[in-house]
Amino acid sequence: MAIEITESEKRVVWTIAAVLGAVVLFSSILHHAFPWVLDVPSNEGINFTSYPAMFLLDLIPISMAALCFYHAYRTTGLYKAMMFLGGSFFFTGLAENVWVLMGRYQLFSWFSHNLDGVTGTYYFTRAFFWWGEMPMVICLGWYFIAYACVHIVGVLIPRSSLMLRAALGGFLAMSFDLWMDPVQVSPMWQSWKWISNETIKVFSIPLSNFMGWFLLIFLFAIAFDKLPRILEKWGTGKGTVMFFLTLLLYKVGMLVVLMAYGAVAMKYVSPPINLTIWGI
Amino acid sequence: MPNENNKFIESLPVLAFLGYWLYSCLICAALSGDVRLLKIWFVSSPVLIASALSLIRIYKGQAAS
Repeated sequence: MAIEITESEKRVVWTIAAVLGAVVLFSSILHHAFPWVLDVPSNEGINFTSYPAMFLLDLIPISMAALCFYHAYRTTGLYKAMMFLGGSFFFTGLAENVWVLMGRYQLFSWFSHNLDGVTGTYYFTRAFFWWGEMPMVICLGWYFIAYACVHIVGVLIPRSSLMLRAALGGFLAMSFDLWMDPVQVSPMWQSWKWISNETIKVFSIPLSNFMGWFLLIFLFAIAFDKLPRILEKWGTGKGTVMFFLTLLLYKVGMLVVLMAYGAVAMKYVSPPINLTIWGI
Repeated sequence: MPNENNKFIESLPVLAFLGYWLYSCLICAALSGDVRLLKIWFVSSPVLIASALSLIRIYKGQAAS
């Protein structure tokens, strides 16, 4: 039996669902039908970019996300399940969109002139459903990887401090991406393309990517743990807004940290370093 | 102690994580045609170890859920 939710919680659930649906619908139409609006790069020469193939590939992470959502629904109720889903879409989706678009339009110089020579960041190639300039399934991937990492660490060390659990969850997610990223950018898949000239790389992937994986999961785990106290203090409606504002604050902090790292690395790390094994 | 159904529900996030690891890392690496990508599997061994340990704890009823 699932946990009952109040009328105000139901309103929040429907609002989040409607916003998520509307953004996905708008972004997907914009990406596929009007690619010139956001200067979407061509997919020429990339495998599995027909609409049926992209739709089928999208179904895999959607199924994994459904398993985690069902677990959240059964153990914490529909409201918290939706807050985790909506929160991770907002947190990771906005962060990645900012990163992709700042790279596409060369918008780093305002932060530091050390970043004048940055050639870009990365972009995603294939997806049926989009969330801005990021595949919806990447948002869903962040959602269920964050959810699973927090859950696994909670099962393994339930009585440890929040900081330790959040940090181990972040490391677990980062370890996942250490293999996934080189595989997904290989010539066969090219699920996303790195166009960054960042000076420190691991397996030819910019180090900031792995820092981002750690920070996103670490900060989101901390923010979500604070949700009950935020709701207790502000109530459901204002508490929900405060939760999303907290995520926005964390996200701005994270982007500043990553850009500060980039500015220092671009200036002081020369020649570039690439930590590889077997030339990967 | 959680019953069998609860244990299964508790294991769903772990299964989702492992399932995606299987697809996006192992299967995609195998299909990439680049053997070097398979050889670096060990960098994600914490994923396997943590997932296996958590499944054992869940099915032995030691998870504090």
